[in-house]
Amino acid sequence: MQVLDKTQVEAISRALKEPGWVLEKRLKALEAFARLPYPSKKDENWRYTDLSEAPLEQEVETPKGLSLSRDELPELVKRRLEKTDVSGFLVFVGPDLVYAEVPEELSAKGLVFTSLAEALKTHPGKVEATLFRGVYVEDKFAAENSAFFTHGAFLYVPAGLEVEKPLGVFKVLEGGKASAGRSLIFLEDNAKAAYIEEYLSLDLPPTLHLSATEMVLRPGAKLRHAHVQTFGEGVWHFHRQRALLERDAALNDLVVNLGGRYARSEVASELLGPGAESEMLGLYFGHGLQHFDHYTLQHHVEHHTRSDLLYKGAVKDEARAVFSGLIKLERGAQKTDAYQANRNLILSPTARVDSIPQLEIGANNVRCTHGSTTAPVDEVQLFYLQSRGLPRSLAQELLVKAHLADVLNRIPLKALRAHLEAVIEEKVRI
Amino acid sequence: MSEADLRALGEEYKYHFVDEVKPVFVAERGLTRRVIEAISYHKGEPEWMLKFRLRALEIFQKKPMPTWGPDLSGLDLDNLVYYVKPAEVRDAKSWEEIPEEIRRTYERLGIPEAERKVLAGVGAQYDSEMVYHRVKEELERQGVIFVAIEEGMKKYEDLFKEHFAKVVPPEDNKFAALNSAAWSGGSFVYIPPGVKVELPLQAYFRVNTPEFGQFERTLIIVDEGAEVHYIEGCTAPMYSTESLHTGVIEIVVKRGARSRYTTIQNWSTNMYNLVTQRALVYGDAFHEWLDGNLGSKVTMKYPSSYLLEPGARTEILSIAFAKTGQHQDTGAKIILGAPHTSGTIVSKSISKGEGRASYRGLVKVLDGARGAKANVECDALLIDPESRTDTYPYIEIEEDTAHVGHEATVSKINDEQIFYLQTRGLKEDEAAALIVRGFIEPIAKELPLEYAVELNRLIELEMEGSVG
Repeated sequence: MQVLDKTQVEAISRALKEPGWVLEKRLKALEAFARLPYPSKKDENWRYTDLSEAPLEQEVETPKGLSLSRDELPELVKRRLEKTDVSGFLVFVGPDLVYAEVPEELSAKGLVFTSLAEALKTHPGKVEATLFRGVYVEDKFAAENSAFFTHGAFLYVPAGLEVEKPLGVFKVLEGGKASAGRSLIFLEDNAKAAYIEEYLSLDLPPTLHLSATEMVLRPGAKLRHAHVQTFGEGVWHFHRQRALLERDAALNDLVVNLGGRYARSEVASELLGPGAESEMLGLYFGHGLQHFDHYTLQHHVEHHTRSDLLYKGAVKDEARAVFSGLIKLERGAQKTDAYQANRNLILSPTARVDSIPQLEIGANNVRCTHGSTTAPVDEVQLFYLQSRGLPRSLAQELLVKAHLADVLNRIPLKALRAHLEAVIEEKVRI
Repeated sequence: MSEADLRALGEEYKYHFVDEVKPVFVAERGLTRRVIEAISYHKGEPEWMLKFRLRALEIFQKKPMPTWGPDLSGLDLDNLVYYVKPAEVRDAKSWEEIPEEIRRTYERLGIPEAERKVLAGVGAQYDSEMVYHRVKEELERQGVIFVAIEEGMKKYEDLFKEHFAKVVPPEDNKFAALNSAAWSGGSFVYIPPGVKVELPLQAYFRVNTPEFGQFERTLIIVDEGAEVHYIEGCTAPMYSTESLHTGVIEIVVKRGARSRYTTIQNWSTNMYNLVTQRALVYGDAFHEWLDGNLGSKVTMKYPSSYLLEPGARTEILSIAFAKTGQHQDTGAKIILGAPHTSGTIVSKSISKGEGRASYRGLVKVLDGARGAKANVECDALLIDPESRTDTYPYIEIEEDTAHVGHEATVSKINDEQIFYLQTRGLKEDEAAALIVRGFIEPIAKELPLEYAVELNRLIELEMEGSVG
């Protein structure tokens, strides 16, 4: 059996025909991975998380070089393609990029949307300037991803280009082996784009999935980003993303956790230039034994920046949801406007919610507010709907959907919204 | 108050003077078995207490320093004096019995006068020992006990043993273990069933020895349907070296009882103030913590209420003022462990200069606490660009019928409000002080009058020349 060691890192890098500097970075990440212990409940950021059943030391898959035609794509993806409105997309199955469709007209305007391995050959300078800047060796799992990732997507939008329709990445997890992939999004000055990552799988035996998303937004760039996870059972999903926002850049971010056995999203926005803005939305709905962790950071480094965070979710059965968010203002981050809200619905006596909305404020001329609420479905509202003739269970489903709709209504991506509504509809009835 | 008065106050804050008192016994530096044995010997304690202390010492030595919260690196635990016996007179019942020099201190602090006017009873601790305790005779007749904790241990051993270290065991945290090993002084209070003590009982803590650790321990038992309000005040002179105050407060509020515990600490700004305060609240009882943190270099204090039976309620009001060189890491904890329990936390903090005020709290609803409700409100006011504030509220909910909310805001003094007050003829710093007073008003109005006055005076003093 292969182990998580240098030989494997070298084999992955060789298979992808990577330049030497990437291998070096991978090996440095491997050192960090080997040095860092697996987190435990004694670590502040893992105090609510039980990893005892997680397939932590699972062997990582290696690239197979598989490529498919559109007809040969997995059913899961084909079904999604029928209902999506993305104009271009990449499909990853297991460790490989198997299919890509990118509109000619966008490529002609200088937009690059391809696999990381390909981009390292065609646009090495752009990748080298940005790769690992957002996510590298922040913790054990980030280091594991940086050392062992087998696939990745790279989106580059040149200065001033505004792409109206969203671009998409579909990742299908095969299961049995750990899978590690990344997204790197680089928007030049005043560029505009929307990027949707979707993660899909059937029900699987325990499988480890690592994903990382790095976003670099140059001055005035505008990005809408969505990370949507609807894995089947058995998946342990560790996701980390960080956006670097320069002057007047704007990010609209959405993180959705609906599937898998365990999902953890570590989501950071770094507001590095005046005028930068970050909207951070989160949506989750857990059932069965699902456990979702959300760790967010709104990091205001410069003055006159804004962030607005709303994470809403519901848990039923024995599901657990954790939200731990931090608004951090550096000294000098004057005129910051920051907001953070976490709203939870708790639907069963065995479900559990932990919420830690935090502030660390180092400047005084600011407006920072946060709030957190956790409660069952409102009895008065239930009563009203029942008085209008709805059975209690239906009234409850309706109110759960209404709770989550607050987040959905803030997403202008219609096709994605319809998809999420459909998944939620299924989940309220389970 | 005139500007001249303010300035005079500013030159030497009135409670930070040094007393000229010669103690009768001073333990060697550091916390060792020998020191613990000496403390126990000087107190003439029963054997079981010495054993308890030594066990706590082991726990203290085993537990690591906290890895979270404020910087405690300036705290040299090996260089502190853990026990100072100020005088041979033990727990006097009248001020005349107290040695002249110590009495003068309390007169300067205005305690005897307050006792005559507004208090039901007074206790006074000087360094390691209680030097005075007296409760109004009619309360004594009703069975109210208000004595030094050492006296409580000896005279009321059964009652004492039933509750001592049961609310806060030495295993709870490193500093609770430290207190359990080295405790000295504090009050023992018992209010019999149905007795309502109208006026507050007050304990006054004074540290005079430099590089000293004060480890008072207070145990309050409010029996069924009884009522009491206990006030604790703390001061120390300003020395250039660090001192430590590590108190443990244990409160038991039985069925249908009401209690309120008020602390206003104005320790000098070289004091590490690391305190564990906890109340067990039983059926339909109500407990209130009122916590004011103005002084000290570092304070870590999170008064907690454990709501153990149906209908138990609690309210925690907390105010912190952090100036340059101060870190007030304060907050509150409510554990809702039974159906229909409820609690509220209101926390207000003001950071000025490079001061840092942190709110750290926990609301935990245990499985089965049906219909439990808790609400937390934290407001922080930042005066200067260098001021800092943090909010770390932990909310853990295992119960699906619970309602829990948390809200926090951070803001500076509103320029428009200042401008408006200036148009009405106030100077800029007066306007700022008025706005700050308005900010803390919801808590200040709950304080006993003399403390509210003192708090307002302090804020005026602190706000002078702070804007413009």
